[in-house]
Amino acid sequence: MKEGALARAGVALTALVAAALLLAPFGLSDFRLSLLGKFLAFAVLAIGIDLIWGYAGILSLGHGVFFGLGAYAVAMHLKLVASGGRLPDFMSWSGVESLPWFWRPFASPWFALAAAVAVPVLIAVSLGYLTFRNRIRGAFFSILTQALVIVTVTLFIGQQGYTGGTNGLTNFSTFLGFPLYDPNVKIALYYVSLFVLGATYFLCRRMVRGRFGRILIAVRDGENRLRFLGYDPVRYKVFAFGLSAALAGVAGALFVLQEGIISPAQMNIVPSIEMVLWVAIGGRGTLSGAVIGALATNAAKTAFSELYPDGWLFFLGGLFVVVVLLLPGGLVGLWQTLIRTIRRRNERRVSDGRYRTA
Amino acid sequence: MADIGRLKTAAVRAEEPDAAAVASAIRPAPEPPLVFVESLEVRFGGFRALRGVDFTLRRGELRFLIGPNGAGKTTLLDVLCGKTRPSAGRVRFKGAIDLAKLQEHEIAALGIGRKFQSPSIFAELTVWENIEIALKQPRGVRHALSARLSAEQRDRIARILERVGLADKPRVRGGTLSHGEKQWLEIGMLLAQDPELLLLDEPVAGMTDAETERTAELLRDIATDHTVLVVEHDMAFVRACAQTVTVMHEGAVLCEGSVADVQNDERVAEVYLGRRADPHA
Repeated sequence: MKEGALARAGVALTALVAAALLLAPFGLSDFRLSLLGKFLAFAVLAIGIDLIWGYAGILSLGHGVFFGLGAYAVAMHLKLVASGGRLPDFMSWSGVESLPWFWRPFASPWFALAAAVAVPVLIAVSLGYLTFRNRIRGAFFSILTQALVIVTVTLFIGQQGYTGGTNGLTNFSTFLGFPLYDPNVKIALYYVSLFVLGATYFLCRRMVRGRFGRILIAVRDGENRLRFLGYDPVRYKVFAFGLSAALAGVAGALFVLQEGIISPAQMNIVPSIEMVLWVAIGGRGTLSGAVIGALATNAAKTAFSELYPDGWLFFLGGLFVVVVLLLPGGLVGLWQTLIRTIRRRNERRVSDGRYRTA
Repeated sequence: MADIGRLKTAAVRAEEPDAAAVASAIRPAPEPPLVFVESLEVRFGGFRALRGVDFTLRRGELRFLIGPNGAGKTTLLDVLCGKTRPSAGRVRFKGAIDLAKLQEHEIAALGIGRKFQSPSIFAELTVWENIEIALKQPRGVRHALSARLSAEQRDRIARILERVGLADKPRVRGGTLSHGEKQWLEIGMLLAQDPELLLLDEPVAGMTDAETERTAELLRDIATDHTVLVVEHDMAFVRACAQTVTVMHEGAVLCEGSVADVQNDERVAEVYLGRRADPHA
């Protein structure tokens, strides 16, 4: 295949995927569509992880928490609406007699949506500021994010009367007056997810292609060197980590609207690590890699867990080993290598031709 | 850390009034030296890397810092750029600014640029991007999010690349440059930063003779409009560039003077060369 043809194939493939995503509601069942909608939410989160990990070299193994907090914020509102002015069911089971003060503002959907972003950002910025300012980096930071997961999950499970405990929050009815189980509402939520993903992608692409992106790469390459150029890496890292948490919160909000349940299990250690795997498999350091990774891994997960319910985790583990050992650039890296190889082969063919005529 | 900080502040406070008094008593309004170091000590655990360094650098000087291994030359540069904190003594920039209290990026923002011994550039960025990131301009996140290079800045980057001999490689990734080219790129980054004071640690280490010569030329050129402090072992290079040389030994300044003065100094001959002075060494 010619190099030009391959590049065209890449563009065509992107256009095809975009068209397929736009037209999906006309071809998929309600169940499949809301599944895909959730994958789109995951892709938003993956872009956030790629920003800090792929560009700035900060490995967070705690994004499940930011995702979960975003989801819980919206779920609290949905639960209040579904309870219709009475105390949410799980509270009365746990002996809580009146609505706790911190639940009250969630009666407003706008407050809930704002909190879905603000709470993760607040936690990420505080944790980030304290660790980055004290120059805690690398594995030590990753371990701290894992600790954040354990603390949060333990808290959510322990405070059953306030959080719904292990069962989480579920049995929702409407959002902004729209019934969540109505097929048309599901389609609308799907398009909202698609729009948010598109907007996130183009916004972040603008960022990483500008000077901000180059400074993030410089943070990864040589944080100390950057200091001697007059930059304060702490500010850049805190900003990137906060932005990443905001995207995770948005993803959580989109997810819970379509899934109809959020529980501590979904923000625990394993999901948090899986989120990083999406980016690794798709290709860290390229935003398209993060999106592709989130969609492909989750599609594969669904397919496999339907066929072999017990085998999925082995498959995921195996996939990760293969990617780390053989495809450090992920799927996107594989594609780029392919283009480079073909380009080199074409050049060789051209120069061979010259020798022959000479 | 807290204890050291308190000691430091206490020491500074005790010394400050008489410094001001002395300064105003001698001359009415003299230009303070660019760098003023007094009784500077640096301890790493039990080891005293610097034991009472007194050192002054005036604006516009090209000064070389020589001395045997372990004399504390690099440590002195480290203190000046904020990489190492002084254990005692004073480090002042432009008379009043206490460098001991500032973080690395704050010191860099004041106009002190540092080149490290092993070339440290951003390997994943291109030559052009390395210079762009070093370019003198606001360092905040908000600025970086919207920054676009002006035509003037592009021009400036191109001129710097010309000056350090990398004009034909703007799109090459920093990590793939040769050792000498990396050194030049780092010097180019310093030029882009346009600091008042350049601190260079062994800029010709590991360079070929031709590269060394070219660097010497570059350094003389830079010294015409910057204050430069260079740590160097290569005596041929020192002779080719130096105006004034400061010799350090065992964490203190031994003597100061022209290259010829220093090479004829008995003490220098003893400690630095380990034998009697040979002016042609």
